[in-house]
Amino acid sequence: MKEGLKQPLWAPLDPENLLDPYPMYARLRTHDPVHHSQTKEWIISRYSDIRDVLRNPAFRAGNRLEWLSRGVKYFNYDEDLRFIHEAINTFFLFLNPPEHTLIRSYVVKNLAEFKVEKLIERVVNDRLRQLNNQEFDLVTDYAQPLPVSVIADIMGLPASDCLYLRSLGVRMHRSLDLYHSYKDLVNLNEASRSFIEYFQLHIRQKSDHPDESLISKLIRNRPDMISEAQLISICIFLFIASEETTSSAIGTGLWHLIQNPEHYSMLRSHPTKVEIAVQELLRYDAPVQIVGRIATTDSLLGGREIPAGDSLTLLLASGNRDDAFFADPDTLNLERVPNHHLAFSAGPHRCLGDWLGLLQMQKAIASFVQRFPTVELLSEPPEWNKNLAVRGLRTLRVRVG
Amino acid sequence: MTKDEIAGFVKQSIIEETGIDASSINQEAPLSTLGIDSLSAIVILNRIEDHYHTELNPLCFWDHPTVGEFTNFLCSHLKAE
Repeated sequence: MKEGLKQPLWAPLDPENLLDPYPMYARLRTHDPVHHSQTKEWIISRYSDIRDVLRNPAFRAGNRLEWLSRGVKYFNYDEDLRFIHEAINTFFLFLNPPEHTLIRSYVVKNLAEFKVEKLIERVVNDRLRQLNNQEFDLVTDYAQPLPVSVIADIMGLPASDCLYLRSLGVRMHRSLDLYHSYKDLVNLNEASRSFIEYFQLHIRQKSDHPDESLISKLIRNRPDMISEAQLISICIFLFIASEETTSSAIGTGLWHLIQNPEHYSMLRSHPTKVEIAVQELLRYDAPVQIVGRIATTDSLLGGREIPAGDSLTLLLASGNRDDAFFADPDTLNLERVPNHHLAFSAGPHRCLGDWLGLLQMQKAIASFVQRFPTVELLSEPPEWNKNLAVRGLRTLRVRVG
Repeated sequence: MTKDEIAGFVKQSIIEETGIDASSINQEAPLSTLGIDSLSAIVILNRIEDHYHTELNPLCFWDHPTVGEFTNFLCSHLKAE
């Protein structure tokens, strides 16, 4: 840090930590695993504590939703930011039982019917066919266009909208950030408004002309307790939860493989090992690094007393590097079994689209490795997103052989 | 711009947002006891960003948690630019 001051233990916006957060996570686990930070929240970094909090209903979800909702009210005299609240109020990531249980099972039931294997293969092969140059950007030309095409197809949205949807998704993702500036919130509000208008239009069209898409199924089977406005929020969440997370996982995963040529060639010669390998890539460097909770009762965690009402920041990606749980956690071991990592969270909020994300990672990584015998990195150090809530590469120039 | 000017602007921004009495603001005063929370901090930082045409890390209030420390941080941040 500049000014010759001592770096705080929790410095999630520090450029060095954004580049590589794992040394900061290791310091937290070693020196203060249940850390009361300068921001007055609790930073939880050990695997067992994180898992216990995720499984304990006394710690409820929704701290970002509540904070953003308070913010919308607080800033109201300056600017109307209500679209943020409208867009995110039914993100089931932020909800608690009984509402969470109802909405989650409604989405799971309708999503489970989709057979996506052929779709993913087609999308990956189409993309690979377009990579004809020796040099290209692995993130923007390959990893990013894949998940948006898959989720747009499942939801029944026009393929020609993918670029627009991605640009909105990137901005909307900031709702999951840990800390915001005022300008971030204004930008988030504009993205929210555009997303709401977009899904309003498509839900109306699909109500008039139903098809076999996920949106049509969600309209048809919508329980009375879920309003149409909530359905819009659910659609926004399904889009952003499946899009940036998966593209980040593909980009980061390939980056680690390229840096470790022995792993890269192992996967080339043993394509069936990709299922176990992607689990390890997720453990080693997950896209969703952080989730939040609120304590509903006074509780004890790692010997510290946490008062009711306090916020907790759970460092999933730190738990995944905890040597009390994983042997040799800083080594990428593509054959690690079992691998009970926290990349999809745990407990009642465990990712419901894990199967969809895993299948896309498997196909995208295995096909890439098969297609290109050698890959050289041209941009070092790579450029990362400016937040740890969703960690992903922005760009990665490569030369293939 | 001098350090006094910057200190004056920081103080005035805090007073405007929190409505706190000027006499209760001293250099050692922790920002949290002046009625600044995570929401009012955003408004104050935005005002400072607009006034000095700069960008501030949303965590800088919490990393420099007294009026004096924050003012020192802001002075070196603005000079460093």
